[in-house]
Amino acid sequence: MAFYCCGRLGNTSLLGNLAKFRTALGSATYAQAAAVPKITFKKFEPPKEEHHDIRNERLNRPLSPHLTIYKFQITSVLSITHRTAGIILTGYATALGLGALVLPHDISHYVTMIEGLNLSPATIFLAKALIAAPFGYHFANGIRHLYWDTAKGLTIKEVYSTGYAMLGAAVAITLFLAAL
Amino acid sequence: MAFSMMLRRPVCSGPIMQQVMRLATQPAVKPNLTQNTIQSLKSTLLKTETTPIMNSVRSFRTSAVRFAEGKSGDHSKLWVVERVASAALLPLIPLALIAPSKILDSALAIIMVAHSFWGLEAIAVDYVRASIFGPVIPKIAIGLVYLVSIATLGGLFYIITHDVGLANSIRQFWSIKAGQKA
Repeated sequence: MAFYCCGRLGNTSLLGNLAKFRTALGSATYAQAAAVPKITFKKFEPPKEEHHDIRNERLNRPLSPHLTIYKFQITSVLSITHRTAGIILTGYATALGLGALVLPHDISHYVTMIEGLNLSPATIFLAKALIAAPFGYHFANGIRHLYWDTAKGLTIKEVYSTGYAMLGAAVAITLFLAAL
Repeated sequence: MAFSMMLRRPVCSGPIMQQVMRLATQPAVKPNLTQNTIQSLKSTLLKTETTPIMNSVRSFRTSAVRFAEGKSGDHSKLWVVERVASAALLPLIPLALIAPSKILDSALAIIMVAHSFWGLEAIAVDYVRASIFGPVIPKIAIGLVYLVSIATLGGLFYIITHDVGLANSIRQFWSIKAGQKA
């Protein structure tokens, strides 16, 4: 550093250098007067791998409100309805499958039993529409999901327009099936 | 479903496979640090930060189920299978209902139960989380999903083999006639 200062001395005016020396000396005494804390170093230990939720639980971090505050939009509503329709359809399949395993009679027996209720055509149409609705919705929205899986139609405009088109298709499928 | 069950077997996702993958992605040449200091010796003994040559297969957590168990897994291939199954259902359902047959019924039963299984599994993984329910209940939930799916498939195959079949059952149910007014 002394060599460096000599070099600098050779380059600038004497008075200017005197001023630099003075401030340098002044800052040196100033540094000695203030207590510089002794800095110790700890070897870096990468944080142990922990599931995000488990860590937050351990640190007792509060969770921000989400479902309770976020506005219901057609995007989220259509999505959760798709899942709900899927659950209902699985319920149909499970009822059919488990029923066949545990119930004593075959299917025609129970079909005859329902026919014995002598329901009106309107009731039958309504019942069929209600039963077919989850299927129509899940079928139409399923096509929309597969369209997304080809990485198309992912802009918000297209999500909305395909959403409305899907709802129309779902209603059409439901009414068609109920009329069969 | 059998495929996804096979991928979840310990042999396909256990420590041996992970070790194989780790070896496959090791760097061919480690950097020649100054071997004199203890510091650099430690760093060569422990995992270094070098970029592996074969970095094309980087295992990262994509499967939510695996994440919950704390293991890493690649769900991408199964994802494609799931979409193919969904796409297959689109023509299969109308076809099986229009032209009832044992073959179409069986195909329908298998693909539909697989589709339902993947859906229920996603629901269980999304909502029955370890951070809320603890370590045991999520595993019970997944077990129940397996149970329900296997039982449903068994029941549907019972209908196909010992009863009129799936398509005919649905058709029979759907053609329930209205009551006759006197």
